[in-house]
Amino acid sequence: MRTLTRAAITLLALSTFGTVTVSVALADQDEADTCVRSKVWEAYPEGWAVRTITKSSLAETEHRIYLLTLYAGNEYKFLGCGDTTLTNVDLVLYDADGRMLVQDQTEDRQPEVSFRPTATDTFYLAVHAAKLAEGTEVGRKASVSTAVTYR
Amino acid sequence: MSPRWMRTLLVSAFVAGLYGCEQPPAPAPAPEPPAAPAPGVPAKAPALDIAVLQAEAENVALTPSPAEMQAALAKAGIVHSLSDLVQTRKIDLDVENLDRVAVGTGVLVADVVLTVKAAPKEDLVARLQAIQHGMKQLGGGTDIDNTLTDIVNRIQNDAVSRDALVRELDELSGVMIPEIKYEKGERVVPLLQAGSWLEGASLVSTAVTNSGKFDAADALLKQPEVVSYFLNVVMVQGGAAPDEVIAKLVATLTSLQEITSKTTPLTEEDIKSIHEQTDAVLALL
Repeated sequence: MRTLTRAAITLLALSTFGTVTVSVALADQDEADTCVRSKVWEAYPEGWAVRTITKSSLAETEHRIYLLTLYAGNEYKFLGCGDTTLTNVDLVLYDADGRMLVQDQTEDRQPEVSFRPTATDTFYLAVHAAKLAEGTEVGRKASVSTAVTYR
Repeated sequence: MSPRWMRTLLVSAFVAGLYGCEQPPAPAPAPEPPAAPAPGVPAKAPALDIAVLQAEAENVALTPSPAEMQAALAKAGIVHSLSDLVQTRKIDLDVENLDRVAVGTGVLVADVVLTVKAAPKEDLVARLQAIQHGMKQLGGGTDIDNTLTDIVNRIQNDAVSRDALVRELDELSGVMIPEIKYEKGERVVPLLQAGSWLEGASLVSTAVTNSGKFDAADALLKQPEVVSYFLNVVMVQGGAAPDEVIAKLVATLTSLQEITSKTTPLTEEDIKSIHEQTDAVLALL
């Protein structure tokens, strides 16, 4: 239903504005969102569940930061998916005092970070749009979806 | 104005609204001195200073879900299932104060998520229909309404397994409901979360008391940032008409903030207080 609604919006916008800007942006967000949802749902048989999925629109080197409460004993996995205009997305987890705890070690647009807190506390998760694909117009915003999962 | 121009204006406003809904991205990190990584963590992304983290952090993912509370309870060695403690509540959602509707709907969301595996079909359907009613009151729109109708129909026709429903209700509560732009404003989402968290905290405090494992309480209930977040929404972003439930909610959150901010371990008395105070709010809904 949501996909159909977005498709309808895209068509309406195209017919009205005669431009592809809106449709590209929506398609990119859908692409990032579909990617992360697929990873989340595929992990359910292994006992993972989702707390939430967030969406953001970031230019190269921009970031978003999320405050998280994480439970001692639970295992957490943070999943990111960038659209195809991104070649590298980074996830970094910090403790409440700003110490970097863990970050993904890949140079791609689908980072994952796992963490098991030893004490229930608040943490910061930073999502970086580290690098856009060569040839992407300067200042272009890319879509990134991020999931907080646990088991 | 011609119909074509009216359509153009409407669509422009709608599309602009879609983009306006998204929060603006944070600016590129300022050239702060990088925080020292913990031992063994090789630097890759630019390190962010604590001041940047504190200033820019968003609360959208701050609150644990009720199912996550259940998982933490089990990890803490408390075998009581929160689903067994969920009461059948008749929450009045036909009230003028929409803050109250949001909190009440959030409680129902927690109940349905926690009981989805074992609740009788009619209880599950009743809770989902009550949530659907609450969402209508809050201006949740047609997508969520259609989704709930579809889920209810499939439950009534035995066309969906409980395992599949667990996933669907996680998506509903953790993804779909928070991302809706409610007609009644941005405060709806945190108030829905507050209702779910209050119900979860009430149930967890009961489970801790029943198990006698008070030493596990810190890990399960000490969440001062979550309480502050809700309190800030209820007090600072207020605007709804005065309401006895919201007044009680403010008093309860203020007290919970004090209890959960303690630097010493939570005591049996603290747990009793959390239970009584959260229950008092829930009983008024």
